[in-house]
Amino acid sequence: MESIWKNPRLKWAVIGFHLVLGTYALIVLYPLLVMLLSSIKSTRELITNPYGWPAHPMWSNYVQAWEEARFAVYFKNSIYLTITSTASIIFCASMASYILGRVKFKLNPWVYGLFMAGLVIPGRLAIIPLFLLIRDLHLLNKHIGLILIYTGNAMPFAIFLLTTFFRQIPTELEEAAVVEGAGRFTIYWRIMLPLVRPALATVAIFEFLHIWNDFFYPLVFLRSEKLMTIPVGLSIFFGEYATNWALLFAALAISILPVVVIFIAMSKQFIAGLTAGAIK
Amino acid sequence: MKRFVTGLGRYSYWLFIAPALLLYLSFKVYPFLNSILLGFYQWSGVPGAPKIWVGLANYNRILVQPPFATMFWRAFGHNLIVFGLLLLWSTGFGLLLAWMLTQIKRGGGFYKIVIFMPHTISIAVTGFLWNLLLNPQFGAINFALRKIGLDFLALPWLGDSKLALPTVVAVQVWHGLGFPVLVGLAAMISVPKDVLEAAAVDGANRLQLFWKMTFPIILPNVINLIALNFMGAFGLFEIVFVMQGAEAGPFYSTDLLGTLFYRTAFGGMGATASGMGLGAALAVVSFLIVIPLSLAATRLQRKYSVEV
Amino acid sequence: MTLSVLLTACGTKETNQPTQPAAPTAKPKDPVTLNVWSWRPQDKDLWTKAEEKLKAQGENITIEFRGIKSTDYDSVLQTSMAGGEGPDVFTTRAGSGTKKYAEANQIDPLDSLKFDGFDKGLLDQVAFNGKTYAVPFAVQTLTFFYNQDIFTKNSITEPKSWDELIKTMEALKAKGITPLAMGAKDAYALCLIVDAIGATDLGDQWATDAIAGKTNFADPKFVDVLKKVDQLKKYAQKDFVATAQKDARTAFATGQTAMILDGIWAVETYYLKTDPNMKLGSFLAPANKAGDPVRQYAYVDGGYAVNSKSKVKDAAMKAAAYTASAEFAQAYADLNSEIPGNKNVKFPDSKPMLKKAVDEKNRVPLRVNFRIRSPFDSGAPDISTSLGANLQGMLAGKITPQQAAEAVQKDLASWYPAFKK
Repeated sequence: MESIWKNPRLKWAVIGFHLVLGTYALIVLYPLLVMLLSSIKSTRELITNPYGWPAHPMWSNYVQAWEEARFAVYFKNSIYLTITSTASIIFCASMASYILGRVKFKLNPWVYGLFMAGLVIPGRLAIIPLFLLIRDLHLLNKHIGLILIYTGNAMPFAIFLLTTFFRQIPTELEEAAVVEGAGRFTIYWRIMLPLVRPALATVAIFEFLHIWNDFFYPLVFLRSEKLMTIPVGLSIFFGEYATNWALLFAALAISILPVVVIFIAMSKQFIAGLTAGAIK
Repeated sequence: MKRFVTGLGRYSYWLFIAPALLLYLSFKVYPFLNSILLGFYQWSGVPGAPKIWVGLANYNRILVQPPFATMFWRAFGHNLIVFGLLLLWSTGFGLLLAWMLTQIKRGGGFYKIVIFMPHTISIAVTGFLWNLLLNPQFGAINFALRKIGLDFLALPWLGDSKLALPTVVAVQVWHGLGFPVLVGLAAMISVPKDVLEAAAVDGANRLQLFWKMTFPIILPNVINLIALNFMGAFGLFEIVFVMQGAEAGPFYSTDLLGTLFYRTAFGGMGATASGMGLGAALAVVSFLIVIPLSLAATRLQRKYSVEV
Repeated sequence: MTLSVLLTACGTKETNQPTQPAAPTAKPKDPVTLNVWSWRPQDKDLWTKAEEKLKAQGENITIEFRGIKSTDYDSVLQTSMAGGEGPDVFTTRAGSGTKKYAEANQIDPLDSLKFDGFDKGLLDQVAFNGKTYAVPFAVQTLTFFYNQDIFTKNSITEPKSWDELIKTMEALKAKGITPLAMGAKDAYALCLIVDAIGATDLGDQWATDAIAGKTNFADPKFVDVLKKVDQLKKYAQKDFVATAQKDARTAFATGQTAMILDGIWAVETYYLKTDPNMKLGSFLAPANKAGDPVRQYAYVDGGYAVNSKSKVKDAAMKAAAYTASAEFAQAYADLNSEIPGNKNVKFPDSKPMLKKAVDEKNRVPLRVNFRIRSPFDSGAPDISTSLGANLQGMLAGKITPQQAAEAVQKDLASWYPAFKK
């Protein structure tokens, strides 16, 4: 990653920065390392040797976790549900944000305010009316029901974020496009979207994660085993009295993999967006 | 901002907004409005149980009558404390890290990924994990502190009513720091390089460059982050629920409006009482408190938008 | 049947087909799927066995068991039932947990089932308006557990009075052994201690009086119970305020502390899982004077209720009937090492703690609950939340036992009818 400064005089400051960043990196990596190490220990070893290296790595934990948490089915569902929902969110929110951030019309602040109000609506309160609505729309126990809910719920946050970025795009580009006869959608698709790629990538990553890890909505709106998602599968390790930590961590390690893939993909978008910005 | 006369028609922009608006209104606003009405009833939440109209009695109970009012205002105070902590640790520290990332030549990619990694595990698992690490006897944190001789710092983090709330907030920040860092980074990077380089040639040092050049441009994003911190502070629930239970102990020291709501509406540990009516009133009050402030934040944000 | 056919034939259009009476529930021999929900995911195997038994009885029932973590159970259950999509059979907590569904006509009375293995006291805990609404599946009991090896090594015997208990703890402490593991971070664990001590010290009469409003929680007798809990704090492990109950259990199970106060459910799931060779002993909270009666706080954990809106009522009732059988109870006891509701069950000698708990439950139970599963549980703020939080404040030295008791009383008086004066 290119730094803005090439001045060698200021090397001490840079070392200082690395120190701060590095220390924080340790604070992040250590617990995650503990988690990984724990995933290959036996339950007894977790008590006797919680932080050390495992005496006999139990890779079988991964196999067991895969089976007990029914990963074969749940993984597929999680991927489908999360990717579709994220795409839907990006699509709906970016279209709305583009308008709210750049088009002056009387109701603009009111619509924007309406979306912003959603940021403070508490989550679990409205679960019963929401359930009744989904039931009446015959969307219970269907993935599409969840996709619609996730999209609707994510609008405040996504629009909040994207609108700011859309606003910061200089108008010259739009004006040039209009002169060439481009319609609104073309401008949106060809010019605006690529310019806010870092923001889109950010929204995508955070929504992906949020939905990937969401446990409550699938629990309430899905019934069939074959539609369930990974977080619900993980809950099997949380017994009423005792938690099966080793298997839980193994299952988590498995479920983080796609997240890492998406993150790397989004990072590329992020950086691509930066270079595009430079060409501005 | 221009008005489009060409294209799909003067009001084509409604088509752009429509999907988002429709889904949002149907699946978020409508259920919420529906449950607001519950605030005027006394209802246990069990379907079929009688709903008794009590008008504003629930609101009175929350805002004025002990013991509820005591719990409400205490929780509210805690939410404010959380906001202050988030300002410092999330926006403040996050922006600092983002800025540092713009100043270093190598390792940026690595740091970015690492800072972001905690966000990949759910908040529930984060809570469980840190519960283990913060255990006063077996936990890694105290273990490490004792090893390097800082015994006096090996405190009962989650058991002391003065330490519990900041500790829980710190864990929340650990989980979510990736967000302000990424947003801050995206914002700082979109500052045109030529402007900065010109100022540098004129003799400005790093700090001056940040405060005088970068900061004004990223101000809308900073205000965004602050606004999100505010809303996050008032919506905080999951991490406390996982680490301290619905009872938000010890001795209510981690009680927030979210945990108070959950306890009221669905019952706490070992309890079978549920009061959806009261819970709904509580949620509405929380909502009404937060709304004016978040609207003010969005106004501020628009005001400080600088067109480059 | 013929009459109705004639009437319908005359009254409506002329058809050749005889009208059939409406069938609100599926006939028992048609294949039926029964949805069973529980906050105990660990009971999955139990219900697989139940399905086998029911099929062997000729019932063509497939059971779909759904175990939901207890922290989410209530919200998921209530939501589903509000939408008419609730399960056919589900677990309800005893006391007001069952009452609230019965009151709202969401569950059916089960008086038609055979309850011959159940004490009336148990059935009362899941009753409403004189009818039984759930089949109690477990009775939980509380007691002091101790590590026999530590006791023997230090020549300690089971204390016969409270003072003796304190002396024992002093002796252990002097030898550098932590006497008691306390998970004070979990407020509910502190409440359990109050339950256990209160069972011996307060008794049925006090509890009955409290419920009737003749006495209350500011009463010196209750304050004394809190004082005793406060006394215990100097014998707990370091930083016990930040220890969760599960960590306290680990400390006890790994021999780091001599005693712990816990429920019978912890024996198999925690202590013996951690150390299968552990030799456990137990004693109920000792009385003030040696020889005075000791009592055990025993409460019905929950029961199986039948959804009144179930579309397969017949099958649901059959399943409920099966849960009332001694066979089911035996399977429950064998699988979970807990005390089932039905008392016609044999406990093997290999489970001495369980046998002792059952014996104590039969001989010296507290019959009137005053904290968990009591009427004080059903309003907001409920006794568990209030007592738990105030105990945490007391143990941190922020309030005195007297103040803690008064705070609890004040909270309850804000809604409990008999206390509103």
